[in-house]
Amino acid sequence: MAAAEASGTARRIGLAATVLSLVGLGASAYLTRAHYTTATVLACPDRGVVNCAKVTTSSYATFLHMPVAVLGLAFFAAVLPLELPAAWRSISSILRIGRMALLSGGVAMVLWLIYAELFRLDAICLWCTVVHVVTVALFVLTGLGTAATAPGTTAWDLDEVELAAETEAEELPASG
Amino acid sequence: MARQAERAEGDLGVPQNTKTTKATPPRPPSRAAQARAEAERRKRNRFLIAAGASAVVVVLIVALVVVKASSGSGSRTVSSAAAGEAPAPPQVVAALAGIPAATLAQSRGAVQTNSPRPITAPPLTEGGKPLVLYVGADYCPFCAAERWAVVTALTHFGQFTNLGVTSSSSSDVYPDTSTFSFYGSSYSSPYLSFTGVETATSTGKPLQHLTPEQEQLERTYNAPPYVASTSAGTIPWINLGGQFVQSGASFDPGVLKDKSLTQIAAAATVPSTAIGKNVQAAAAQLTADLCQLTGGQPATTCSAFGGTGGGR
Repeated sequence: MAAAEASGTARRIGLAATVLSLVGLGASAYLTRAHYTTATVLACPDRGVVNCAKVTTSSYATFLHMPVAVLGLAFFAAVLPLELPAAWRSISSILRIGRMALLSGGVAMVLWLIYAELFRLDAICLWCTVVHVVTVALFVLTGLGTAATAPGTTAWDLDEVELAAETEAEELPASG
Repeated sequence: MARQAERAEGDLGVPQNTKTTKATPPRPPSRAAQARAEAERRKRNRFLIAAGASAVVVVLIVALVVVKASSGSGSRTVSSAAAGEAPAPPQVVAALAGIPAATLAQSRGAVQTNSPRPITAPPLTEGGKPLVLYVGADYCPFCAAERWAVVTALTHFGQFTNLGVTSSSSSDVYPDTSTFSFYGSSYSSPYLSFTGVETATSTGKPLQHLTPEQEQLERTYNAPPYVASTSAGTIPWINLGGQFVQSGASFDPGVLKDKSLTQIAAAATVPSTAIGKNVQAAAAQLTADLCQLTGGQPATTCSAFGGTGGGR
C-alpha cells in the first residue's frame, strides 16, 4: 500500500511537472521563432509598459552572446525528460540533484531577467512572463517533489527503515 | 499481518506478551522507532529547505515588483499633472499631422536649420523597427522648439497617444515657450519606434531617468565627432535609428515667443509665417531622414521626399 502511494505521488508530481515543462517549451519555441523572424510576430502589445518587442530586441535578450530565447528553449528541452513521471520514479541521486540544479539555474536567470525588464528596460514581455512563471512554478514543484520523494522519506521508505532497524536489532544478539 | 504486529510492538517499545509493573522504568525507544524518527526528521528538514527556497524566490520576485510599483510606472516618477503637464488638445496634434507631406517637402531648406548629422554607427532599432530616441527636459526652451518639429515629423509615420503639453521654464531664456511633452506618452507606428525621455519638469525637478543603454548612447553620440563640440552634451539630443544625430534645437525658439499652443499650431501649418517656415523646415529634414531609415515607407509621406529621403 505504502509503496503504491509513493509511486502515485511521483506520478502526480511528474505529470504536473511535465505539463508545466511543455508549456515552457511551447512559449520558448514561440519566442525563439520570433527571434529568428521578426519580433513583431509576437502576439503582444508594442506600446506602453507591456512591450514584447522592446524586451526581445534589447541587449538583455542575449546572454553570453546567446539569444535568451534559445537558452530558454534549450533549458526546457533539457528539463522536460527530467520531469517525466518515469524520471520522478527514479531514485538516482544524480538525476535528482541534476534536475534541482538545472531548475535553480533557471530561476536565477529568471530573477535577473525580471530585474532587467522592470528596472533597465521599463517594459514587460508577456510571453517572457509566461516562461518566468512556468520556471518558478517548476522550481517550487521540483523542490517540494524532491523532498517528498527523496529516498528514505516516503511512507514506504519509512516502513523499510523501521523494518531494517528491527532486523538489525534482532540479528545483533545472535551475532554477539 | 506479522509485520504490523511487529511494528505495533516496536512503536510501543514493549513486547505485547511481556508483563510490566508500575515500578519498572519505561524502556528507551527501540532502534526501529529511533530509525523512523530520524527518517521523519530528515524528511521534515528536506521539506523545510525546499519550502524555504521556494519562499525566497517568490519573495524576491514580489519585492522587485513592489519596489518597481512604488517607484512609479515605467521610469516615471510623478504624474503628468504633478509635472505641470496637461493632455495635448487633439486639434493641435491633428493640425501638425495634417500638414501635407508635399508642403513639408517644399519647406525643406526654406530656412537654415540645425539638421541631424549622418553618422556611422550600429543601427538603433526596437522591435525590428528603427528607433528614434529623443532626450530633453520640460524646462528647456530649445527642447520646446524642437518638439514641434519632432511631433510634426513623427505624426507622418504614426500616432501619439497621451501626448502632453507644457511650457519651458519661466526663469530661463525664451521663458514659457509653449510646447509638447513626451513624458507619459506613447507612439505607435508600423515603420518606426520612438522613445522620448524628459529628464526634468518645467521647474527643473527630476522626471525621467535614462536607462543604462540610453545613457551609453547619449554619452557616445552626443559628443564629437558625432556632434559639434560646441553643442556636445546638450539637450535636446535626438538619435534617428543610429544613423543620424542632432544636438540642440533645429531653430531659434524665439520665433515661438509669446504664442499660445493653438497659435503656434495654426501658424505651423502656414509656410509663409515665421513659425511655419521654421517648424516645417525642421520637420521636413527630420522626415527626409526618417524616410531614409524606413526605406521610403509610408509612401504617402516619403514619395514627396523622393522615396528614401531624396538625399541631403
